[in-house]
Amino acid sequence: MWPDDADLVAGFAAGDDLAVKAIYERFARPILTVGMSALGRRDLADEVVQTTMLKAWRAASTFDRSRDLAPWIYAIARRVAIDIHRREARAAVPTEIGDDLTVEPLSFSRTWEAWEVRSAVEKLPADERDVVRLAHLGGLTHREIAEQLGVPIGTVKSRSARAHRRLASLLGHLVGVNK
Amino acid sequence: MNEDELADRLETGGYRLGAEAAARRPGDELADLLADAATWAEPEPGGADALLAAIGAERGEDAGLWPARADDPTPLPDAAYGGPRSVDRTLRSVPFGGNGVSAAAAQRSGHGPAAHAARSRRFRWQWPAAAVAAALVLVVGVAALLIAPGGDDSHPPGQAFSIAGTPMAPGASAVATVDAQPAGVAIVLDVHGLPPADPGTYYQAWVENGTGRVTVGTFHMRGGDGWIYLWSGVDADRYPMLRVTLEHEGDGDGASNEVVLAGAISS
Repeated sequence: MWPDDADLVAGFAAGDDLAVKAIYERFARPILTVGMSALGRRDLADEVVQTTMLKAWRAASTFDRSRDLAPWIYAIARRVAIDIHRREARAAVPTEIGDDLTVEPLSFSRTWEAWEVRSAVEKLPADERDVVRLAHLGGLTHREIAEQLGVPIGTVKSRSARAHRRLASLLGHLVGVNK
Repeated sequence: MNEDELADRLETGGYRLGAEAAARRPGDELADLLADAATWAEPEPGGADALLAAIGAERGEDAGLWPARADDPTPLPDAAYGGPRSVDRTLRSVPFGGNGVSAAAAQRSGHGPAAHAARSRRFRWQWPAAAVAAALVLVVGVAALLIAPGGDDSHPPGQAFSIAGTPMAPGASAVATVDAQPAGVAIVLDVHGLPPADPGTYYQAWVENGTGRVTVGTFHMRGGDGWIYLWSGVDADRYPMLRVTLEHEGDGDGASNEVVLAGAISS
């Protein structure tokens, strides 16, 4: 529907329903990952998603359409997460019981990697993504994944190998791999 | 390192329970992220509709009636921040986006002009009601703090970290508070939603790094949610990952691969 990101952003800036939904579908997951990585709380991460999207919409009319869309939205998300972290830190200023309180540590240094990993995962075919999720998040063996998905173990192995080759290709720039 | 080597490194993941001892190498940090629950979290259903509703409101369809801008969420009073336990519970009651727009409500109500008008009329009533509800939640939270054993001293000292439930226990979560003491590292796990271990089974907590792991205690959760007191004889900086596994009596000393909680305990 949108030949390129420039047209998509134009529709987004105009508040076109389909463009807004397309932007949300494409970026809500990486933004949520950044929010959770930076703030460690689901409720705050949800707030990062919504606020980032609104800020992006407000700024979309001034977006330089020669630039890449993803880093622009990532920058907004990171800024929003920092603002929310500061707000929460202010709310945690010690009162009578404050010395016992802690705010979860903030790690913004790796949020770009978190964004990139999430974006790469979203580019995998669904069957390969399932295998990667079960292996890494679930800690399952290939045999256990095969049982859970009801497919032969050889299928799991080949999907896993394909998926990790794709991920290596998509993420290699983060660790300086040689092509 | 080339792409094939990175793919292999990602697939074997040098950081998993049961992995052979291996030094940390480039790419392992990406494998860590693949094992992080944040990488797999799904946005709240109806989020796109909530966004459309908020955009519609800002474009003037509900001029003057929208309760607040989404980037200017009304902060809770300072007193509402009672540490990770009460904050989590209190803020979960704040509507999606912090602007009074509930994703579920937006999904139900649509986002056309008529729906906006109806929603705005509802907000006139919902906003004071939400304030009353927030005040009640605040009172309950403060009361819970006051009646908790130990009163103000009941929250463990240390640095807090979120520990996520895995697909084996998707409803589980924990906050790990880590405090280096003269005798070792005190780790208090504030666990929620982890089912009681069946008879003959128990939970075991481990700290680990790329080269090994050390057990820091066992528990069963048969008394419901609560705090688990663990002790580690190794520094969290050198063993920065915490995992909880489900173990079966008689299965030996090693860790099973039935991981129910996982997360970092060092920044």
